[in-house]
Amino acid sequence: MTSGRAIRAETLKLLSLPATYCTVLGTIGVAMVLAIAFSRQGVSPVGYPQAGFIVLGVIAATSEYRDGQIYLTLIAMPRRIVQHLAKMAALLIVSVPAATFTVLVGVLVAGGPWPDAVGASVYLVLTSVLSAAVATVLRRSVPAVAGLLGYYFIVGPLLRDRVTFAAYLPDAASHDLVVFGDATIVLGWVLVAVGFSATTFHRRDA
Amino acid sequence: MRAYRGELRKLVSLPSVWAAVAVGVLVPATLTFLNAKSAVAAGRGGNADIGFQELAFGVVGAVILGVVAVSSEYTTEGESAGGGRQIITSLTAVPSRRRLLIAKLTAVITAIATLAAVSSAITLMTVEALLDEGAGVSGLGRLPGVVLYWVLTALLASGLTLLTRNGILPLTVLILNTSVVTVTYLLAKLTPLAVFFPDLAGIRMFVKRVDLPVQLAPVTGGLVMTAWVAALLAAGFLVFRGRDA
Repeated sequence: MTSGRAIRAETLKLLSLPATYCTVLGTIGVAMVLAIAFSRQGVSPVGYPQAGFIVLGVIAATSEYRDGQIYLTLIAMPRRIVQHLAKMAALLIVSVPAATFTVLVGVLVAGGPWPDAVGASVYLVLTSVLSAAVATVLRRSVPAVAGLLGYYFIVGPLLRDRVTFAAYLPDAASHDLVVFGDATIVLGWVLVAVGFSATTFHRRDA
Repeated sequence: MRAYRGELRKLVSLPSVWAAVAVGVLVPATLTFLNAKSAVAAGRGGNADIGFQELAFGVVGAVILGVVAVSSEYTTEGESAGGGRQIITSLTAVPSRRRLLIAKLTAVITAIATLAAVSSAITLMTVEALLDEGAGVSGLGRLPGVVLYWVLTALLASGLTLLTRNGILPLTVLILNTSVVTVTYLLAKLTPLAVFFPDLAGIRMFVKRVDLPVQLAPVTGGLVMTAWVAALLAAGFLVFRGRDA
């Protein structure tokens, strides 16, 4: 019962942020333009739009820390683990439709197999949760965005062809999507990251 | 002069700036090391651009520094500090917005020029140590191009952040466009006009072989990039001067 109300509260908070709408609409718009422009060059529908989901996850987590909102949140909901998981659930509620829509736009414009679309949506949703977990630990939006984008767009792609363990890194699925195989690896990373962020959030001062 | 010293101090005191410095030094050096190793293992020498291509990725350090230098002024300090922002204090200390901006940009230029010189030295020494031939010391003539490219990119980032007052958007756009296959590079496949984007034009200052439909001369490339940066900074200054902090 409590967790239901916590999820409802977190969803309301996330939906009250203008940045949420700007990010989601911007991502879908950019995904559409890129799909139209680059459909003939075989650009993955996940590649660039995943940046939008990274930013969405970061905003969901760091908006609490900008004006000290976290104090109010913890007065209303002192059980930190429940609060943290409720925030992740609220992020899922927003990112699942956003990811589905982004991928559908890409597939409709560029053409592509439907099973891939499911895997791509799952990957985008998991990436946003992973970003939220990282941002919870960092608590500041600029370092979180710089670190995550630097990893996903510079370090990750450069490691991909050079090291053997690259297939087990969280960004492997953005490159070549094997329907649920790679999503499982990302899911593993997400569970580890959320476990870590929940522990950190539980133990340290707000 | 005192405003400039103050801005330099502010930069040095930011942890994000030191993270940007680490990125700017480590990314190109590590990448060059890996690429040179694989070139040696394959039994061939490096191509003319080894070291310089990698320095084009290292510019992400300049992007972070350029963004953070401006966005840190606008971060809310939180309830315990009265919810203020540093820009209020900065404008109290230096009330002329023109002087404050000039001091800040000069501090950014100083920091990035130093960073670019150090990073290029480390990267090119790596090339020299691992490969007998390759650009190495013979590429010294291209070093000013690298430094200028990093400085202009950082100013571009600062100019964008002046307009948005928030680091997230400029970071996203500029880091995405430093990735292995950049958006502007893909656009260049669609229209030859895309070679006049600031990154593609600027990179011509020090990378010799690029797969682009129009080959700009190094000086032309530098001028095109400078024009972009000047336009963005002018827009940033007009907005900064005109609106409430």
